[in-house]
Amino acid sequence: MLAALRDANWLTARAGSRLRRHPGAAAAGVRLRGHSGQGAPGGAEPAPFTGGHGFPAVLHAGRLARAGLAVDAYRLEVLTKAEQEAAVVQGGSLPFLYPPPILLLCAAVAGLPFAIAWLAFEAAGLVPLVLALRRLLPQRWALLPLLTAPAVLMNLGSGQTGFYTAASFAWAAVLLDRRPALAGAALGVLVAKPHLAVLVPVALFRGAALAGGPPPVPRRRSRCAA
Amino acid sequence: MAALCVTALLVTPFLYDYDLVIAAPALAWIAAEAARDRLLRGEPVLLAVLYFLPFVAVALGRGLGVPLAPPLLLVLLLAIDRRAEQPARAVPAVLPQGAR
Repeated sequence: MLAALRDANWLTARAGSRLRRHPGAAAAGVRLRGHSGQGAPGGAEPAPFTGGHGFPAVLHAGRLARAGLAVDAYRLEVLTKAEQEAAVVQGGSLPFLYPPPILLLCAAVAGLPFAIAWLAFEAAGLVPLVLALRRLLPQRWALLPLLTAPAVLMNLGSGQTGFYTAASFAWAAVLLDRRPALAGAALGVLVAKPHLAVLVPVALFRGAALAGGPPPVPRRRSRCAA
Repeated sequence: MAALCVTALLVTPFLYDYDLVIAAPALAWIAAEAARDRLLRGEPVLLAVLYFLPFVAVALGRGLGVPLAPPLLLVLLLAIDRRAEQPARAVPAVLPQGAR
């Protein structure tokens, strides 16, 4: 029993066909989760989406910034009022907790309708993240598990910023050896969530001695191809 | 960098389930190393558990009263350390499946 759990041959055997089945199950899970949240329609119009509970704060902070009222994004009563008046998504309001530079990004999508703005905001983080992860894991079989990873689906559903922070780390991993300045710029995105960056200076000082780092697989491949 | 991703999640007391996307580069690194070389003992289960963890982390944490992500992330950190400590093989071993 213990050996079966530890070695998990049932998991690796015919991994290809199993991997193809996993993403479907994962996607079904997210759909179930989405519907279960549809319970209490308190407001006037029904919610077109049940996720995105983090996104109204982003959207309305962006709209306030576009209106030249960026400071109001940090006045909870003003932001809450804006969120509740729009009330595209039911449920409680969230404060806007990101530092001012992130308002530029919020303002960029804030002119769009809610659902499109949400998708644009998530796509702008997901695309760089997946591109970086494909550098780490370029195998063809890896794309679907990456795109349908539970963490990816959940972040997409909640309209949150996980893609940006994860892309920041992933691009830093990809670029650190060859383009350290660009890697530093990627890590700079973590101003959005500085509490995730506390160990970054320590790790950079430790440099090559640190565990991990990008495998040189993609470069070697491209050289072979050329 | 893989270790940094995991320690970044471990060191902060303020983390939501969606922040677990940050573990993705670390999981991808282990998967890439495994694809180059081989899966080490326990890695299949660890990768699978952490892959699906975000779905159940909040519910299980509420049910059990103990968050599960930190100990699991700690195991992931140890797995990264084990990978990093392994001397790089000059010639990747090609073993028939299950012949370890």
